[in-house]
Amino acid sequence: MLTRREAIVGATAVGATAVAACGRTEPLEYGSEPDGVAASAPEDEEMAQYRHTSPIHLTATTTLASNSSGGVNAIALKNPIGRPMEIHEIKFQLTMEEPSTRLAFKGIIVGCKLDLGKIPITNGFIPIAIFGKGPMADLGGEFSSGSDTTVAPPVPSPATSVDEYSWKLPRPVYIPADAVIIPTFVHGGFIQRDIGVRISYSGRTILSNERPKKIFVPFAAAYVSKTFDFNTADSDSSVETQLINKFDTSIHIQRFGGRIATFDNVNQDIGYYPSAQDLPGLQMINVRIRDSFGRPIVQNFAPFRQVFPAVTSSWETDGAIMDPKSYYIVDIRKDAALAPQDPDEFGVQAAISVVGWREVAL
Amino acid sequence: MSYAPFVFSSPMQVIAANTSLIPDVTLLGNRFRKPLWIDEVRFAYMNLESEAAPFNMGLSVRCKLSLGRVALTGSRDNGFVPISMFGPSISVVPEELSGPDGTFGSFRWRLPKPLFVPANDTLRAQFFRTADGFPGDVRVSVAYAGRYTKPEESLPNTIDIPYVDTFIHSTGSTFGLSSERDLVNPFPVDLNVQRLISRTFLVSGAGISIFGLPFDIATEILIKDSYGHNVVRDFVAPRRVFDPTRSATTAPFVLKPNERINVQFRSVPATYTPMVSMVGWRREVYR
Repeated sequence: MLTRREAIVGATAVGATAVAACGRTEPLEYGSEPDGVAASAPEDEEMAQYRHTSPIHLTATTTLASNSSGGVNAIALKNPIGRPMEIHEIKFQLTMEEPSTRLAFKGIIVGCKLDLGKIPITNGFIPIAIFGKGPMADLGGEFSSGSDTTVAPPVPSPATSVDEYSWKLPRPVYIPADAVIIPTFVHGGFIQRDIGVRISYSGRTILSNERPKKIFVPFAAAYVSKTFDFNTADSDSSVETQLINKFDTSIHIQRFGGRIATFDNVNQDIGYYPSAQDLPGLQMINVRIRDSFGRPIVQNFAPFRQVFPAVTSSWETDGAIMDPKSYYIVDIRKDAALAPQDPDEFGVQAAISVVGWREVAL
Repeated sequence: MSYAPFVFSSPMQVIAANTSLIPDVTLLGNRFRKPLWIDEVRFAYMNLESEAAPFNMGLSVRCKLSLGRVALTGSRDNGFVPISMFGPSISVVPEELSGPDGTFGSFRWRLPKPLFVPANDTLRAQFFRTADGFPGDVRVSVAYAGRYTKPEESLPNTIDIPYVDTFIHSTGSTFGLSSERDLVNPFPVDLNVQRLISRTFLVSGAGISIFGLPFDIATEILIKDSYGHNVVRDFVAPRRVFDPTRSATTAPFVLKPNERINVQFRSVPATYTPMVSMVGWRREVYR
């Protein structure tokens, strides 16, 4: 029969594998165990053996009707062995049955709100496409069937389009044993079909009883512009409550994300950018950003694609700080299209996010 | 006060063939005349002529960067470096997007060291477009991404200046050899090389069509240092030396003053234009 210590030592090997697999292993700040056993010295050899982990992947699904919102079975996202865990990555998969020629950038019309108990992770609903970086050549994670023969990668089924997105958290978030990050989704409409949503958490179970003094909670806020007419000049601005740090602590900004979508009102297509016709990003949509102190973050109106480069749709700003109770204001100048489209058919919309993390005391 | 990020960008401006364009420096500098740090330089271009082939203007659109009298780009071709040769490729596709609405592309150069821009100074950019034969208006833009200095931040005594120099093979020749003015450290201080980049462009159709060719298997390359020591000992395809997905190879070494890298190309098809650039930084005293 194994003693508790032997069982823990045996599990350490599994934990080491998990550490390698999970990649980032920023240490927790270890405090005292609830039963009062001293645990404040991470380098203490006696304590080091308790710091071990096991990989875990949790997933839950739901189906959203057009213009509706809903949640998932939160129990499926709770650690089944009743231990605390760290989440390193949140993954989204959006599926829709559709004709094979349909362009369907679902990540821009499906929003997600995340809460860790009473601690908000997002400022309301965030378009799923702008949580993380676009995964390089596949132009942002869209795997739409036959959507654009110039750039679309192979698809698993000709009758189903699948959009996949990943948000690698800037720092792992500690989830206490009795807690769960609860997601709520919204289908923004435009497409009349149902959209299947799968959310997954990848991370590691913490098998010891160590408990951090503070945790690093991810944060995301977004501004989605109005839908502009494709051809005519127009403008729009965010308001103070959208890209805001409403907390009393600073937010460490990991990145600004930016995506553009076009809406074909006749065929109910949603095009994604950058694509082979990135006229909106380089010519039509121009962005200016300033913070609540008046500092110019994007000084003059700049082409959208110069602020959010095409490859990643992201402007990485590791180390930037968003002050407590501060906000960003985005101004968009929509220029008339140099290559006009059918005037009754197309609209264009921009979405911008601020993604980062903040410290929260437990 | 916290550190705040910024992007300064010039608008998309028309540049005609065989001409140069200087973006408005007031848009590319700190309007508060305070020092700042630049982390990244971004280039973008667009041409609304409909093209059937995947065009890439990363060869014909070139840029010269300077901070006051301090050059960030090499001395050949008046300091103009093709905008595709500043940074490695992250993905081929966004660099050469063409379709019925035109040709769109962008490149980004994550500087090897953040560039400190003193108060009242501006990183100046100047574009040049070769006589590439492209029809229609070509529009270009440059942007800088970085961060404002903090009020309590002590200013540096030295500035690490990023540097790019490029050797461009003469189109039509089957053999090419870089000269003592190519890929050289012309400064009186050490040049810390970060990486070497290589791309091959295909110039065809009477000089009209240009597109990137990242998987050139016809050309062969050989590289030696100033003293004849082998860097790449035998002639091999560039993709054997430079990761084809990045078009680059990491090469952390130091070039002493006047030292250089010798590049030889052979078996170059008549329509191919291979290039090699050297990216690094040097330390300049700031007074």
